[in-house]
Amino acid sequence: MAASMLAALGKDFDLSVCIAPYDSQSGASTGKRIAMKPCRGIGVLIQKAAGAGADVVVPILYEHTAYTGGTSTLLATITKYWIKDETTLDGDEAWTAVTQTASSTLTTTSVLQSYIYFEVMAEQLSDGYTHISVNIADTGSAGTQPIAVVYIPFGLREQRGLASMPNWLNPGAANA
Amino acid sequence: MASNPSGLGRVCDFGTGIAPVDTQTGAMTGKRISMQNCGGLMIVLYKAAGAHPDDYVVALYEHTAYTGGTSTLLACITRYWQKKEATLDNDEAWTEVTQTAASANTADTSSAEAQMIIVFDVQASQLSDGYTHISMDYADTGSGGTQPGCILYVPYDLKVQRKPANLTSLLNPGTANA
Repeated sequence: MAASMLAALGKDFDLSVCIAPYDSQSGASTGKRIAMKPCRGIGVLIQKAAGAGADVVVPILYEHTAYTGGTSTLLATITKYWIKDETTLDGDEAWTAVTQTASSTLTTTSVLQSYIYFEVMAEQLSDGYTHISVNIADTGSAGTQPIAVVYIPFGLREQRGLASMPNWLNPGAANA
Repeated sequence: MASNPSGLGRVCDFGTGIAPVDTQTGAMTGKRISMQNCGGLMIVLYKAAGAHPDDYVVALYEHTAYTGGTSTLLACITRYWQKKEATLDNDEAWTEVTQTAASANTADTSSAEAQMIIVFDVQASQLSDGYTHISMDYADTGSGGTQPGCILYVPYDLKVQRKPANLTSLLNPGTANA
């Protein structure tokens, strides 16, 4: 049993923004960049409301050579992801593993309420690349489909009190 | 590194509090989650920016069963952590908020205008005798445009670490997932 409040955050993993909640029917969204220098891997968790028809979510993974500017390239390392989907998620649903040919695009057919989770390990970055990001394509036009994407860095190279966690955009620079 | 995923099912699991929704459409009742199989549970509220004064307000409950039973406000929130910025971009620091033990967050009159990640933490040992589950409700934030938000449960200190497909039902442990 953990002894202290917030015993996991800052010890086992951290949380950082990819795409703040928005309606994915309103257009494509560019995910924020995150450095992989302070961690061994990053879980990408997509939380979405139910959609309609063929309005499926399409996440696209990129790698970058810098926290801003630099060179950006599609990172075709998604071979497996995990999904919980149900008309109304209520905690009794199981994770289902889905495998696919290595790609920078995650392919799913579900328009149900979903959690979709995949991981990127730091060692999967190409030489000279330091950051990743995940974009979400415009999902369509049938009603609304709120969605949110969060990064979960794990295998932290340094475990710290939360206020002292690194700047995930540009490690070594002060948080802003 | 041998396996993938290496965090899910080993470090933590994820469960539904409130699926992404426009929080201006009405009050939202959070799903229940059992604390039987974890040492603690983080409640992550993730929200878009809205318009003043449509600030977020949450309420933490404990329950004696996965459905029905007795539900009571759980006044154990003495501190929580938040990242808050007009546009979150990963350069923001965690800020600690402390308060007298309560089942709700401290009123934050500038929260509506910001994108935020807020983390509450509940330990299994904080539940009252006979209570097994918690949930967090999210009040109607108002009517000024839209303000998408969601609540994610992150159980950690898992009592049994398993591959994701074999993780326990977070709603009703011991029964098959559905």
